[in-house]
Formats: sequence, structure tokens, C-alpha cells
Amino acid sequence: MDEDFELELRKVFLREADINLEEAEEAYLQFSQNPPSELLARCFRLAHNLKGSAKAVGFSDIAEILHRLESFLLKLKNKELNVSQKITNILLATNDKLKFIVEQIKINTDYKIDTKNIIAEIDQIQSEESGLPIGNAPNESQDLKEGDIFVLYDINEVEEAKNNILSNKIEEITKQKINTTKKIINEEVIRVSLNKIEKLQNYIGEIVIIESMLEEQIKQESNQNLKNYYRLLKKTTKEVQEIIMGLRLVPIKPAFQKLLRTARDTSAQLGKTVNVTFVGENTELDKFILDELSDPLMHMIRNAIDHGIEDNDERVAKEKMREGNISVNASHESGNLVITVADDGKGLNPTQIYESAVKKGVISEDVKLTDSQCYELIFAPGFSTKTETTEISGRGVGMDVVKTNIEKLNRKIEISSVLNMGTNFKIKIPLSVGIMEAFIAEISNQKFIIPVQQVIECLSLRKSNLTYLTGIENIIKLRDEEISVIDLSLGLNLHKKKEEKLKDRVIFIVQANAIKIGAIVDKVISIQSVVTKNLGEELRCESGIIGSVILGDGKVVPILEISQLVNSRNFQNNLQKSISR
Amino acid sequence: MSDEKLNKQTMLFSAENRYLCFSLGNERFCIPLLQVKEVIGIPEFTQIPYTPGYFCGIMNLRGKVISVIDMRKKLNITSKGDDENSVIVCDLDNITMGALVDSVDNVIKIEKDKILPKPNMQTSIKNDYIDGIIEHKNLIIVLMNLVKSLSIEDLVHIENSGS
Repeated sequence: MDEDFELELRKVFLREADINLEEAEEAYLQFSQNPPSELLARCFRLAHNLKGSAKAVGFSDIAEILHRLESFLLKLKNKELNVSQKITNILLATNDKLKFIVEQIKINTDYKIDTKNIIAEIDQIQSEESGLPIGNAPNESQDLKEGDIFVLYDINEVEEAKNNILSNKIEEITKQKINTTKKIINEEVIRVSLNKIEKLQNYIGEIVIIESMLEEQIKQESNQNLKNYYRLLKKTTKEVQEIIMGLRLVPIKPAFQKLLRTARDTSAQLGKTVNVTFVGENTELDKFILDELSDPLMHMIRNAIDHGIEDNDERVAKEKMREGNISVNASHESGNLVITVADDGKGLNPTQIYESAVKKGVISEDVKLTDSQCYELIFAPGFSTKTETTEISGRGVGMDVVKTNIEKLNRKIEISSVLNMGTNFKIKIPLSVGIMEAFIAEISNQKFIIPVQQVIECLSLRKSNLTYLTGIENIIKLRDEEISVIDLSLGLNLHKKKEEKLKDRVIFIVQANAIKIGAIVDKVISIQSVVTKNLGEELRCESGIIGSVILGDGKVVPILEISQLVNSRNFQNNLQKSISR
Repeated sequence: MSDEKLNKQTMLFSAENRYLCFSLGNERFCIPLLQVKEVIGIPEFTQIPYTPGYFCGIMNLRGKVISVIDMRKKLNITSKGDDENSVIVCDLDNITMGALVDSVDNVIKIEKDKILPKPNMQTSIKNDYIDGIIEHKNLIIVLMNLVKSLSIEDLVHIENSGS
């Protein structure tokens, strides 16, 4: 066989193995005391398919493991063995080992696989759990396809049969079968590097910009045909744009699956019974965000089980259900992805957190905090509510890492909690890093972008009752709340035009660290989705400008982070200067 | 500058002995051609608040946003006027930036050993943006170290000190 060709085949196999093993893990996790026969059939099929592929590309060791696994699964399928917790554990462990092997092979194709231990484990559990003698061939064999036949034999028999001509024939049949499976996989999914998609995204962005330039020209054109063609072009580009934006979006399902696994392992380790429910596993989000989110979510689940949920007996004493409940919910909410992790455990105790924080020197004793500010303390580095660290949490990675990761995505995490009722974490993240809803505002004839997420509400300056105070900021009264209002043009040091258009001026109410601020802009031009672009390293400064946007006319407009901007030294200096003037 | 960067630059010099010449006022400068991505006309800038005077703003380079710096203002050189002004788009250590210059003149080829070292001057003015001197057809051309002259560290520094 040509070497390149062989390598290519192996690559295809490894990719297939990734998908296959993920799917198998998902299936095993659904195993309960009495799993439905389709589920067992699916597991069997998965193991069988992968075995065939492994053999076809010459990974005979993997094939051997899968062969044993397959026979084992067949016993389960035929009810010769009953699925128990122990068996599920072994299945998951074997799956993990296979995953590990595949990863190792990816790095080094000559990786030596230790099959003995894995096979021994499978065999052991079989003999432990089975009261029946091995090799009791079931009667269902007629239902199975030709390629499946040989697995119905007793293992020893198969070993013997390997020497026979029969086995050659079987292998041939299996190979054929694999070829068809491969085709199906390739037809359904192809993996594309994110890099390629990003390039595509950039190019479509350019096309849209050029298109809008063309539009200007065509307005002056009288040729009706040309106009029609342009309209067609525009329609098609819009569609292509939507598809490309959607390419990066993937369902959250794989992350949920990992969580399920974490939850299962953690609760087993701690001896707690915990039900984890997932809602909205088909909710889509950007692949990049999914990768960033995976770890924090895992940590939160672990935390919820370790710190949140009480021991079974304690729960009974509290007249709660014996099993703890954790629900993870993903949904879309006005252009954002919202993920909540809620448990019905003991809840956060603000006093306890406060005292612990004081003891650990996170805050000083004389600071007064509200309950929600106390909850925030769990994100402080070096903070743990538990006195002794366990194996599960307290390995140096705490909630502070969760918070940093989420903030890296430019979003915040909210906590609400009721003592003895449970804790609820809510994360709100934009669907895609590149796209967001934003106000295009005008300040002293310059355009600025203000992301919608920052703004709590908008008011017309003329209609709100602004109280002017000399020397300090102005104040508005809004539903019994006094909010100080700052004119952005003063702080940005832009030359102010005459205040003839007072009626257009708008106050954006934003919130930073529980303090509301009103920011005045001259005019809101529109609200639209914009494609964000990063600024270069040279502009990474604390001035409240967090990026830029290319508008339809090709013009670049900076994005403001109002609360950051208002608190920056530059802004305050300018403000002081303009007041003292 | 770290050794690694120095090595990279030395490599750039030896690998390709070609330099792009440009003028700032009446003075002539050049930079290694390998650092140049492209030369464009004067684009439309968007100004960014709080940036120093020599910072022209940000521009849209076919879907990518880059910063542009006015080299004349940065080096305190009086401009010749804006007849031939161009922006040289450069790739520097993963940062793409534009340098606004009076005019782009030509590309010259100089062996590395013909580059004279920077004269040892007693001066209070910071001149570490000069990498060497090239004599070409009776003209003195200053080989510029763009990373230092654009001085990204400077920019951030000025920002933080709240000028």
C-alpha cells in the first residue's frame, strides 16, 4: 500500500474514532438499571463499527479490545447479563482508555498499546456478573446481518476460527461494511479548521462593505436591468452571509455531555446521589465560546455537588428529597446565550462567607457588604467556603478561575441564592464573539458604538427631568433613584457643537459595580448588528475603548465601554478641566 | 530588544538585502522591504480619543482594522506638504501598523556590510530608532528601526500616564 495513502486512511480512522467514542460515551451515560434494547444495540453497533475500521487500517490491538468489548455488549444486549452500576463504570473506563489510546496514536503512530489489562478487566467483570456460562449463543442470530455473525461465537471459538478460512471471509465482509459506514460519516459531517471559516468570514465582510459602496453608485444609475441584478446579488450575499455566520455555531450538547460525566464521577466519589438535568442541549453557540466555557461549567458542576448539595442523610433531615438536583439550562435570550446552573442544595450563607473572607484577609473587617456582594466574594482568589480541601475541589483552581474565564468572554456571572433552598448561577454571553447588537451613537459629530448589553435603558434628555448642579455632575431622578449624568463629549474632549439639537440627545443608563451612571450622547443613529474587530496591541489601554466596528460604508468606528471609560483617568481629567473652565 | 528579535532582524537583513526608501520632510529613510506589507494612499481615518498627536487614528484595510502613525509628527520633522503622502503598511512582530510618510521613493539593494553603523553622537535626543546609515548614490539614507520608532511601548506608556 502506498504510504501516504495508508497515512491518510489512518487519519480518517482517528477522526472517525473520535466521533465514535464520543457517541459511545454519551450512550453509556444513559445506561440505567434497565436500559432500553435500542440503546444497547446502538452501543454494540458503535463498538462493532469501530472494530472493523481499526482492523481495516491495521490497528489490530485496538480491534482486539473492541472485539472483547463487543462480545461483552452483546451479552448485555441479549440480557445474558444485567446492566449494573459496576458494568457501566467498566464501560466508561474502557471508553476512556480507548480515547487515550487514540490520542496517543495521534501523537505517535507507533504507540504501543497495552491491551492485556483492559481486556482482563472486561473479562473479569463478565465472569463476576454472569451466572451464565459464557458462549450461550442466543436465538436472535437470524435477525442480525451477515457481518455480525462471528461475534456470536464464544470468544475461544472465535480465536480458533481465526485460523480458519471463515475468518478471512468475515474480515472481508466487515471491510465492506466499514466502507459504507465511512461514507455515511463523511457525508454527514466534515471537520473544517476554524481558521478557514474565519477567513471566509472576513471575506464576506469585505464583500458586504464593497456592496454597500456599489449601492451608492447604483442609486445614481438609471439602468433598470443593472438595478435588478444588483438586487439579486444583494439577496444572495445576504444569504451567504447568514450561512457563514452560522458556520461557527455548534450545539452546546458536547459540553453538556462532559458535564454529565463530571457530575457522575464527582457524585460517585463523594457518595452523594445527584440528578442532573439538562435543558436546551441543541442551543447553538460559537465554537470558540464553547471551548472557553467548557472548563468553567465543569468547575461549577463540581462545586455544586461538593459544596452545594448536602449529604443524602442531611437532606432527609431537612425534609428534602434524598437525591440532590442540579439543572443546567441553556437558552437564547435577546441575542445572548444564557446558561444557568441551579442546585437545590444548602445555598450560600452570606454571613459565613463574610466571616471567612475577613479571616482569610480577602476583605477588611470594617467593610459593610450586601448579601449579593457577599456572594461575589466566592470569586475572590484564594477563597474557599470549605474548611478542609477535598480531592474534588480545592486544588488551587477556584471560582476565581471561573470568573476570569467568563470575563475573558466579556461577560459577567450572576449569583442568586436562598439559604437551604439552593444556589443559582447565571451566565450571559453573546452568541458569537464577532457579532453583537449595538447602538450607533453620535457624540460631537463623531460616531461611536455602544453595545446594547451595556445599556440598561435609554431616555430622551428633553423628557427626563435633569437637575443641573454647579461644580459636580448633573442628576436625574428615575423611579426614586438618583443617577448622576455625565456628558460623554466633555470627558472625551471632543469639541462640542452648539446645543441646537437638544431634542435628539439621549441618556444611556449603564451599570458598573452596582452603581448606575447616565451617559449623554448627542444622537442615536441606529441600532443594528455589527461585526466587531479587535484593535491592535498598541491601543490596549485603559481608556474604555474596547474594539472597533466596520460600518456598511467602510468606516471604522470605535466601541465604547461606558463604565470603564467614565472611570478612566483621562476621562475624569477632561471632565475636571471642562467644569473648571 | 531581546536576542531572539535581534536574530530575527539580522536574518531579515541578510535574507533580503532590499530596502524601501521614503522621505520625511527633506530627510531620507529606509526600512527592510520584508517588513513592508503594502503601500497605500491616504485612507479615511477614525480618530481615537486620548491618543497622542502623532496618532492619526484607525483605518479599514480591507476588513482589518489597523492603527496609523504620522512619522513626521512622531520624529518631529516638518512635513513637505501632503501632495505625495502615503501610508506604508508594515508587519512588525505580529502587529500590523501603518506609517504615514511624505513620499515613498524607491527600493534599493544594499549588501549588509555596506551599512554603516550609527554615528556615535553626543546628543540628548533619543536616537535608538536608527539602525544604521546607508550611502547610496551620494545620498545619506537612515536605516530605520520601525519597531522602535513607532514605539508601541511609548504609546501605551503615554496613555497610562494620562497625558
